[in-house]
Amino acid sequence: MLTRLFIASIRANLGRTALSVAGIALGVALGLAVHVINQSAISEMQQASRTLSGDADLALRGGRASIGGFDERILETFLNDERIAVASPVLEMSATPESFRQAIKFIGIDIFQAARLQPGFVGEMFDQNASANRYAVLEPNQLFLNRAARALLPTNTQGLPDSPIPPASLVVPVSLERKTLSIAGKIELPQFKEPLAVMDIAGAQALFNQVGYLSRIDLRLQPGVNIEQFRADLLPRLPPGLTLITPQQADEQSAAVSRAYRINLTVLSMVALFTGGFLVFSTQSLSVVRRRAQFALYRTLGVTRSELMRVLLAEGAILGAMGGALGCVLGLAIATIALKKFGADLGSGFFAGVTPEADWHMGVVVFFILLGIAAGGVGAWLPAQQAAFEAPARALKATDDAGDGAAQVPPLWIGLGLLLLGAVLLAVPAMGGIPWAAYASIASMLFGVIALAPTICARVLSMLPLSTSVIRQLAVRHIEKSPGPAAAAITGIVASFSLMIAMLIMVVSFRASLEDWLTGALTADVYVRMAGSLNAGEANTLNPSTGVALQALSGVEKVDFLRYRSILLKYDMPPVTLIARPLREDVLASLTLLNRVNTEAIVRSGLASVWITEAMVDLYGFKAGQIITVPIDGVARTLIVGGVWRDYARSNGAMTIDRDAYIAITGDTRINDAALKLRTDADKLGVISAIRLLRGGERLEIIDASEIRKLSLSAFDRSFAVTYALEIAAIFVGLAGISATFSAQAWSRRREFGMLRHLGMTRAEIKKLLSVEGALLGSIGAAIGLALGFAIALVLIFIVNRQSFHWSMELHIPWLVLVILSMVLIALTALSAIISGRFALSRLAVMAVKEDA
Amino acid sequence: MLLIHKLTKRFGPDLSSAPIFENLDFTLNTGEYIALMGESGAGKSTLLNIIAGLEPATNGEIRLAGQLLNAANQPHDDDRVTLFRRQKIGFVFQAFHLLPYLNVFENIALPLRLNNWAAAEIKTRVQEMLASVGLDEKTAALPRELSGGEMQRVAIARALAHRPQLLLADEPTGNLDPDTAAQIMALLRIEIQRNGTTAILVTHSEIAARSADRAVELSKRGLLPRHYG
Repeated sequence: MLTRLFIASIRANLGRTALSVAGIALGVALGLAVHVINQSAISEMQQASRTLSGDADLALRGGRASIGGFDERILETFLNDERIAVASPVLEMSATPESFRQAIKFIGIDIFQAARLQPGFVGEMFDQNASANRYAVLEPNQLFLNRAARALLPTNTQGLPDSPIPPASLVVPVSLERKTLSIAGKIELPQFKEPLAVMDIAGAQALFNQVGYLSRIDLRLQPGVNIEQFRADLLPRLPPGLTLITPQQADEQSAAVSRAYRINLTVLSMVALFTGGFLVFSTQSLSVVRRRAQFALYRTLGVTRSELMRVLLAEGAILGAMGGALGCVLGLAIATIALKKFGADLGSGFFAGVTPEADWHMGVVVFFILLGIAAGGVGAWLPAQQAAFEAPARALKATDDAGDGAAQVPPLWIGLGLLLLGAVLLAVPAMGGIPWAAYASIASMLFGVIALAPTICARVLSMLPLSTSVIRQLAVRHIEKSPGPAAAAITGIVASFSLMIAMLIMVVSFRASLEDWLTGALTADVYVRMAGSLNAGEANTLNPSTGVALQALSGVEKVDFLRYRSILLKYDMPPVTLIARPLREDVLASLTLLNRVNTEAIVRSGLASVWITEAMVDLYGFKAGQIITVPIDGVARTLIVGGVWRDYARSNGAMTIDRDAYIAITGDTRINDAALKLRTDADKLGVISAIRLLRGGERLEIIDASEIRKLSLSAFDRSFAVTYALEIAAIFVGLAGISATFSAQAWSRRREFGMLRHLGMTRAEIKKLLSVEGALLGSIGAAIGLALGFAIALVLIFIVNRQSFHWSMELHIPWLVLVILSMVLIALTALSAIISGRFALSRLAVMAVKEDA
Repeated sequence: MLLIHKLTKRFGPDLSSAPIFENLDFTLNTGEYIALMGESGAGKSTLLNIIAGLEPATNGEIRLAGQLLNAANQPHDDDRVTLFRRQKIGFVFQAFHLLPYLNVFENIALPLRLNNWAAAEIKTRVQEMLASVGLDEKTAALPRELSGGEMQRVAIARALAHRPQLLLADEPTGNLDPDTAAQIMALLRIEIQRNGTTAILVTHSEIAARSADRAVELSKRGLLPRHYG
């Protein structure tokens, strides 16, 4: 019976069945693609990190791993500790060699130590004669490239990868110098896919002006030494700002940085699956309505309620499984193509430059197919229940349209209870940095409003004055007296439209706040830094002579110098950025300050002030006026928090300190960025040309502030492009749902339409009746969707974003766009009602008045 | 009042099927009330639908109140025929077909509103009809609150409220018990006479048919007078 019923159902609703399967497939595909892309990126990064650490049990790390971090003298402590078998010092830097299209990673190692952890570091010399000299690898200017780095070599040295030929050279610009290194050989680290150059650590320190500094020390303990015990013993004795972590902890930390972003994206892609479930609901409702008499007959012949229910749930589950399987194929294809064409970065910048292979396993595919099945089953639940619990005699007789197969009105307490639960959940803090409770609150509000939709429909329509138009009166009366079916029709629209409105308000608010922030953050006209600094990190500094030359340029009114440091405040947290810059009142005014203590309090404390971002408040519990300890260069420095500012650039946290105070504390006068304020009459292009002509000017990255603004906003728009696509998909799924429900109603109301035709209603009038009903439902759906969307937007803006990324934003409501979108939705709903209700105009509807004769 | 001339109806995409009926000729005088009988599938309901302009005939002509409703050489103008039906024809169905979301008053008022009667006129006329069918206490009731007999009374009131020239009643007692059916047939007869309406009653019931002025039977041989045994 199952097969026969299912096939009959598919035949009767071929188009809509296909649409349901497509809806679920879309949701599953997006969810799986997002998961695979993110997971591939994470795996790639973790594998890369593990490859470089080899068999290390622990790593001593300072701030950001890729930059010169801490004093190498600590190495002596480890060399004298008999519990340690291997202590391998590492300097990791990034730089863009001349003629290379991208930055590559440079690893400086002590080959004798490193090879004990990762044998792959032992390079193979191209010059076979040189191989005889086992100390050749210790030459400070010898480089060993992995396959990815060799592939970046200019064509005239392309022969290098596979054949030993005379060594070629590589020019690496560092600060204002051009340093020439020879490519001595190759290393084989197949697990490490990114371009990599390995060299002796002393050479690397000299090359990058990092003599005396290390990025990390990889440790392998003697057999039998308990890692956790060793760690617990050593941690308290480490200088401030240093930590010991296991490879597993490193993996967790690297995944944690992007976790909130990845979960946000996954939740968003699940919205498509959610609306796919609605599509199944609508299709199954229609299908149940059409087979009402058939089911009643089965029931009369002895099929039990649970048997009928099982069959109908199985139908939904089969649709879900089909959609799930199709979605998995599609999702894997999308992920593979996206990873190949665009890399793993979906717009956040977390995985910029990471181009992994699609990393997935059958377990994930099975999970997503199960999600599809669940969406199908849940979508089919209500229609199945309705079919199973309808009295067979009534369905067989079908003399009235009261039980027209659509959802009945749920009790009021369910909706109100869900709304209350949603409100309570808002008070629950994030768990593991993820706003789970806020997501649950959104879901609870959504379902609460959906449960209340029938009551809202009836109440709103009962308040409307009685229309003089018979068509409008019929439309109003029908919806008012059948709020269950009416609400069923608009459920999909309410769900998709509210989520669209919420995302729209959030994105508009975010963008407007970002624009304001950029205006405040980009107070200079031109910014100068060493080319490739973004990849090379804080160690890539401007030559002091360049700073002096910039100040002397004609047209330049003022130059502010900025220094960035990566600071580890807590062992188990990602590092934060310390920005040293002149903190005059005008600079403070340009920061989006959210609160500050008065200057007298700072002066009274006798401490240098540090101005923190909201992330520091959320992650470390710091607040304005608090005295905090910040480890800089291995020394704990006591500072006072002057205030809190908004920062959209660093969600892990940042602190800014006056540069003079920073120099006084650390003696570090190095500069990463120079911010040039030009005179009002200055020719910006002329100044930029003059900078180019400075010594080493060709290796400077000169950025027009307006260009940064443009790039930032376009990056923002790009990162939300996937959101817009999902919103549009959700709206179409919602419209498909409303269309299915209208079809169901046109079928179940066929006798009514037939009677109206008998009474002399023209086809045009029936069409008008359908369109008025559609427009009414669209208006109610849009109004509920707007209100709910607004509430969800507030949750997204003030809770989800804050808990996920630790930044706030101002609320901006795009009124005009909201009005236009609502109008378009109402028009589309009316159109959908006419198109899907065309059955009401057919001869069959006229004949239906005889159906029960 | 109603003139049917050489009326033929075939179905199918190319109208090639055997005719449901062929070359029917029939005249019904103003105020006359006839019962239309015949076996199932003889085409009684189809004939009613063609008379009402709900579907076109394959051949032949129908004139109602002097107006040509359907002619083989004319394209079927659905809007014209529908507006004509709205003003001139009333229907009573076996399954009542009251709108479940309108109350008794609103159901009866529906054809009046469709014909753009003024609100005051509607009120007066609906109350008059409610009194006629004995439901003036149930004005605000919804159809689900009524018995089958009451629902059919409302349906009769609705069918005659706008004073149609022709009433088409298709098995109006098919869903009712014999006692209620007898009451409804009596009421129908009274209301038809009171309103001066010409009426066609489709029925299988000889008892119901006896309430009409005369009976005709539709068969392969055409429309022939029916004589009771």
